[in-house]
Amino acid sequence: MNRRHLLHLLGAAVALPFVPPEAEAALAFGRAAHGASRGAGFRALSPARAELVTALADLILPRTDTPSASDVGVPAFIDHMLAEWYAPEDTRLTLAGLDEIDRFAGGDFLALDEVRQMAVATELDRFGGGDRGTAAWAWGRIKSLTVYGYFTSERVMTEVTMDPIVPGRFAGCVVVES
Amino acid sequence: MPKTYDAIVIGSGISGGWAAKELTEAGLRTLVLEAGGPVDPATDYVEHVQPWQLPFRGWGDRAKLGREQPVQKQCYACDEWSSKFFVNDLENPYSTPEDRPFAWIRGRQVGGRSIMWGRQVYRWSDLDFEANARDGHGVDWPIRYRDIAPWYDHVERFIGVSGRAEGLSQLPDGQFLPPMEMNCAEAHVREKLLAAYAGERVLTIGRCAILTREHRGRAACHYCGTCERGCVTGSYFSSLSSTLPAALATGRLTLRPHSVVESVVYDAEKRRAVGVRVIDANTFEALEFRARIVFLCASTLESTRILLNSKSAAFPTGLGNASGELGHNLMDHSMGHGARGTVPGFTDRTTFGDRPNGIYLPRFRNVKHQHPNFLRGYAYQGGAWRNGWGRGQGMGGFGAEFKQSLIRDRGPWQFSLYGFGEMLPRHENVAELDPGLKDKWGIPALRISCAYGENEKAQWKDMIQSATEMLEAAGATNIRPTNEDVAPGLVIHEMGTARMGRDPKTSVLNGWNQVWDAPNLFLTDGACMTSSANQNPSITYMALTARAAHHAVDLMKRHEL
Repeated sequence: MNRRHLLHLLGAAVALPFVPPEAEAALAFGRAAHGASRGAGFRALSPARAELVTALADLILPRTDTPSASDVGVPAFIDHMLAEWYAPEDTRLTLAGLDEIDRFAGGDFLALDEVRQMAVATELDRFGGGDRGTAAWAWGRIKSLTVYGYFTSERVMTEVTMDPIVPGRFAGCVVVES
Repeated sequence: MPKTYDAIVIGSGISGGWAAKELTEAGLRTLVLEAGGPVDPATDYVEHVQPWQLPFRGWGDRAKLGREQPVQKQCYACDEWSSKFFVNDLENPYSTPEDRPFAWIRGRQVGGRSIMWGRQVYRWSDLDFEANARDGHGVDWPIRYRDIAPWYDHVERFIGVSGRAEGLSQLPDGQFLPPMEMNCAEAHVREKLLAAYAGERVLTIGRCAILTREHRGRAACHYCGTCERGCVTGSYFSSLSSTLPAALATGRLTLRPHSVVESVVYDAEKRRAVGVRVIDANTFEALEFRARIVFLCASTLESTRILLNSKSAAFPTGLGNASGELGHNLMDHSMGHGARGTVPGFTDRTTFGDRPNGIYLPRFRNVKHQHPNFLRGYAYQGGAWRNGWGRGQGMGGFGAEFKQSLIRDRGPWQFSLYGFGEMLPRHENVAELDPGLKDKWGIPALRISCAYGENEKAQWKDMIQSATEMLEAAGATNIRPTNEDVAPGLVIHEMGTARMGRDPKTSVLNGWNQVWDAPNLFLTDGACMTSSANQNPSITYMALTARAAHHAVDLMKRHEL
């Protein structure tokens, strides 16, 4: 059994959320408008996919007393890398993997409530890796890009981690400041 | 009439810069020819540029690198900041047999590869200079440690080398500036290894051409950590920060960038090199310059390529090739083998500043006792570090706690011992002219055929095993072997192809780096090396260059050149 197959089996185990049809329509409308604003200028990610990536990135690095992933532009960074850096096939597989995440979530990750989103993400994260194009693989890639994009952003480097660019000296063994 | 100088130096990198300095300071009007363009530290150096200021946050333009620098991008330093310091592979082609890959990493600019070099500098000892004579591989070096020792002193005093004196016969101490500090985990491993191996395995801080205090008008290192992107304070040695300014200060230096040397002009009657043929890199104009002496410092394979292209009736297979050894005995070091693990403890300790230097564990094999499986030896480089937020790209978890952990904690101390092994000189490892391949300027390009042999492979096994044992002895956990298949060339310590020797029948250069067939032509870069030892070789090129330059001046004063 390959990992992709296993994921499909796992996907079947995730309860489908019950959402009444009228609520679903309202949700879809609102999401489209929201997604359009979020995904403005995005090139690899459609508005709907930009919204999914934003949700995943903010699950990985949520807003606390420090900024969230989307606060520092991680979704735009991910879109840029998918549009310009990765080979087209790689990007295609990443987008396919995002589709798989939706499928794994029972059809629409964003339609799940917070608890169920957490459950799906926990499952994907626990599984890790997997074949290219699968849900778990796409989660791993989004997570890796989210962490990299977050910690190399101007705001996080200058306001959160604040490692000096020109330290001026080296000390090999200092007490970690809490 | 071609313009005439006292001396021509081909190349402005580590070796060429030294030749320029020593020759101009001795009073010679010297022309330095550099194939690449000028570099202005104020605008070209990018060590303080942060990831967010780059389009790909440091990952580089993958598609462009793949198209234009498929060879160069294999080097860790050829990234989004520094790929401009590496050549365009399309303009600078070479070929290899399909089953014998060779990574030729090159930099064409004023300063050459001294701008993005690794800065590690280790003296050789007689264990190295006597090695060929001892086991019969290659030919005997025409020099011994006593011949080069004063020139190591001379070079170290000028460039500034930080390091710790350890009193080891196989790795002689030098003129050191204060050493950089080890971090907690490194100091711990040093003590453990000294105890476990009765003082025979000495983990020391890397000896590097980086200033730990102000030196000859150059500022001490400010520990931003990314020397391969340049250094506006000139705190690591490069031709640009050190030797070329000294040469310029004499008023006798003429530096001509964009000057691609095609060949050396040989006068069969005088039995001398009389000049150099150049193609202007921008205009493609063919030029010629003349001089009493010529220093070939274009880098190992470029210098040999120039000699192979210097064909005449007297030397139909290339100037200096009467022995038939020109192009042969190509060496690199080997790398890719060792082990890494986790050093428990010290979790409340970290470092301040980015130390652009690691640790060095000098050769311990075949120093006192002969190893049953291989000749010569290897050394480890590496060090200890904490991964910081970078570990978040691979570790499990997500959410608020995950984020806080990446911000606050740096993860456990990791330790790597990464072997650099000596490669035996072998005739079949060779660089020749490819009859069907030319570079952008129409100059015949090289066909390089080089592979590691059984002795190197036997060392790799031991590098993994010994590193594993030592990490165990140091109390490390989660120990994993490092076992990477790395093509020769990628260590960027390519050496040989115009070896020094005692006999013109079996070598290209004499004991003063003079081409046997044209004694006013000196070749002092890595091409001259008769064996490879396992130490990073640049400082030996510098010392040999300074020594040869002084010898050249002496001979000129005595009217022997």
